[in-house]
Amino acid sequence: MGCFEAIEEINYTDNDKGEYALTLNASRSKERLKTLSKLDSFMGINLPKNGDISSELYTVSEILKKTDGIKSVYHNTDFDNYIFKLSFKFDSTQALNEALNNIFVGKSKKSEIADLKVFEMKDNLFKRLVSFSDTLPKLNKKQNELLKLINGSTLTSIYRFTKPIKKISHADAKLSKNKLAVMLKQDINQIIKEPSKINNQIQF
Amino acid sequence: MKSFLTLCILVVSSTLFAQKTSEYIPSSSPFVLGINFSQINAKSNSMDYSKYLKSIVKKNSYSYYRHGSQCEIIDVFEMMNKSNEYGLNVSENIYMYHSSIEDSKGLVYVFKLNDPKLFESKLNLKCTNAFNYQKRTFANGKLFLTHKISIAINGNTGIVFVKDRNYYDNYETETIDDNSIDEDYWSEKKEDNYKNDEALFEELNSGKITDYDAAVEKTLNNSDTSIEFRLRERQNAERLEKITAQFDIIQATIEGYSKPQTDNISTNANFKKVESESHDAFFFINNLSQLNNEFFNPMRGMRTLHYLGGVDNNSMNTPLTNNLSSSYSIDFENGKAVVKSLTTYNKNVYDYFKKIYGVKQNKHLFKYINGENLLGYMSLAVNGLELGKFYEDFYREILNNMSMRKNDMNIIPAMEMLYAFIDKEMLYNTLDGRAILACTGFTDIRLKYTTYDYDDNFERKEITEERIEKQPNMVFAASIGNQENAKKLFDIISKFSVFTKVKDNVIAFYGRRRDKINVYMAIVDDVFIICNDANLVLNNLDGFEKSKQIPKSEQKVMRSHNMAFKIFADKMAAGVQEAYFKGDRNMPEFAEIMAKFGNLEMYDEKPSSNSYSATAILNLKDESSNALYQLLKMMQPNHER
Repeated sequence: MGCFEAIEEINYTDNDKGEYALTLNASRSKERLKTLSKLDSFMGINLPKNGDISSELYTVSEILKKTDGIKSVYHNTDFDNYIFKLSFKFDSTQALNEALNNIFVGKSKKSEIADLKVFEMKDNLFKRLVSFSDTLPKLNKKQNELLKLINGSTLTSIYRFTKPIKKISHADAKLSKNKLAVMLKQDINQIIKEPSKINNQIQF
Repeated sequence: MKSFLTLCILVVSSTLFAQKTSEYIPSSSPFVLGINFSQINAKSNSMDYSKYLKSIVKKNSYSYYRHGSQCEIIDVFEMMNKSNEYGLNVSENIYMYHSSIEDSKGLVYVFKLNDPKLFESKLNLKCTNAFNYQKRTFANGKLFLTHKISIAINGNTGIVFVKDRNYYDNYETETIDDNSIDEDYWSEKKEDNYKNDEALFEELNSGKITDYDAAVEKTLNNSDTSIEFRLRERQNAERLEKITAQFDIIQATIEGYSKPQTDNISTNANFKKVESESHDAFFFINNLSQLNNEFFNPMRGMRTLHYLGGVDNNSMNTPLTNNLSSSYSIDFENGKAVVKSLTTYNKNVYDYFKKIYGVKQNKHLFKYINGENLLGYMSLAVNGLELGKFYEDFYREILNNMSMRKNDMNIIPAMEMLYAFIDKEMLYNTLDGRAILACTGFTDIRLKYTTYDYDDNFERKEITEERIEKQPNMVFAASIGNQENAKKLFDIISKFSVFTKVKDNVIAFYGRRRDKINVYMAIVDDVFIICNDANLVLNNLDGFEKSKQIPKSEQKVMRSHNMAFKIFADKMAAGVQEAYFKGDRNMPEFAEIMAKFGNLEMYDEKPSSNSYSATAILNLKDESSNALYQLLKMMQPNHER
């Protein structure tokens, strides 16, 4: 179907406050996506229309606006280049987790979902955790075949801090020259198959 | 000896005079579908094809009908899918056709039975309510009637009639008032009241009553309760009478279907031919019958027309549409699936067809088709002017004969007036009806996209990069009939601001800067070209050199058929794989299926005095097993393959 890149960015502006931004860029596959957008389904997958995507983003923004400790919610859709952006400011890492949790609960069909803890900031230690691995169903053969459609898609996580970083646990993560940022670029198919690959601990 | 001769006569006569299933189908049926399950079952080699069968078996939701689902006496899909278990004789075709007799419209399934008793035993006859189900008999057969599905068993012939759900047809059934109170009830009630009043009066006058309320209660208890019972009995009888009358109509319909028809579909030459060829399945369309069929009439439903005075068949003037029928057959053979179409017509149509198809493909078009990596083509060669004349007369005849309301009748003169203003030479002979559309390979195009770059401190910056994308090279080359008109039109089109003049005889539409998808139009003598191949319009407007042109063998095919179509599967698969799924973006499932296909081709035959046919063949590389088996296997999910 085509590859895309997802960029997750967290900019801490003090010890626990900051800004979260998620960018989904499918510009590389825009021609195919434009063709596919004319279809209702492809290889058994129901394809969302442009309006569905806008509506989903709007719903997510509304959920975020109602979350305590979240402000300056912004979203943007660019259907010429297939780039979608979502960003907001959070008062604390706890508020950030709650925001992500509310989105997950709001969009999930499950009636009860355990609280997600995606990020943790405590005692000079920042953690990126996988708390959804148990919610991911095991992929069947057909789903594995479908994953090939997004071969080459990546997730880039960039975390910027106000204090210098001493240690990073993930072997593939890179430290910036000023020692204030960490970047980790991973294959999305690999993350889907093995969610624990997303785990990372950053020590200050 | 005598008894032996009698036996021989019986055997011979039963063979010679056995009624064919198709003789049960009226000649007026607008369409007929015939399936030979014996052949299909053998060719599918036990692969499940039920989901494809399901899509062609009519499936009305039973809840749509007033009377409950307990009376669905047969599951038509299951009957078709498990025909052997239902005692059907699958060595003969099972037919499905639409019938419309007065208000009784629906789909009719007609088939031969090996074992009528087994078939009857498979019917769900648990329903005993005479309002919903009635069993009847006629001369030699049995009828099982419900509001939706009715069945007739006449000797070894089985008929299933699935009635259409139609508001008007079912209005009466749905408005039978179950609780109407009749005159008899009121008069009986009145008499009973007088009787009770009299009794009470006498008792009161006797002076023996000490408790007035108890006396009234006692009198009321003496009321005749059988009055209500008799009312219900009468209501039920009335309802049953009305429903029985409706069943009588269905009986008349289905009883008629269960006998060989005097004027049956076998008398149609097209049907007779397609039936005699023993196809795996075929679909027959009786064009003239369709004209007065509500399904195909764009104007109005026939019921409305009936009251407004539609045109009946007898008053039709049908010089072109008379005897016009079409059929489409499919046969699965070892290594290939063959679809044939056959149109039969009368001599008036042939007079047009001789001229329409009496042309050959324009040789000048070939030099613009690069044959080095030809992936597929479609070639059409007809006389555009003659085709225009035919369609004018043909559609006028159809419209004239179509039942329509008074106001709709203005459509015909309005169309005629519009047509009178049209410059036919410009419309039909600028491009004269001969053209080739070809895919001549894939070409690289550069596409820009947005991505990100990061500095040493991982600050993000938006950048634009380029990537190479493969795009199919498409060429449409059409033969020009009237060069003066073509030049005039080309010059007008060139003036639109979306086009850029590249040469005197070449204009280009450049896609958006980032997309780089360009379309070129060129005009050279008697050829008009539309393509996305810059190399053709910029460097090869005199035509590609002979060694690069479309192969002689294909040129010959295009010259000898008015219609020819071919996809070179190997080259197409390799091209698509290379263009879209190469490297780590390989799609094994896609590649696996594509690798099994051979060429797909289609060509027609010159029209004869009464028929015109075309054949399409899907070739498969494995010629050792049947194409149906192979195709069903390919359609299965990957893990079940």
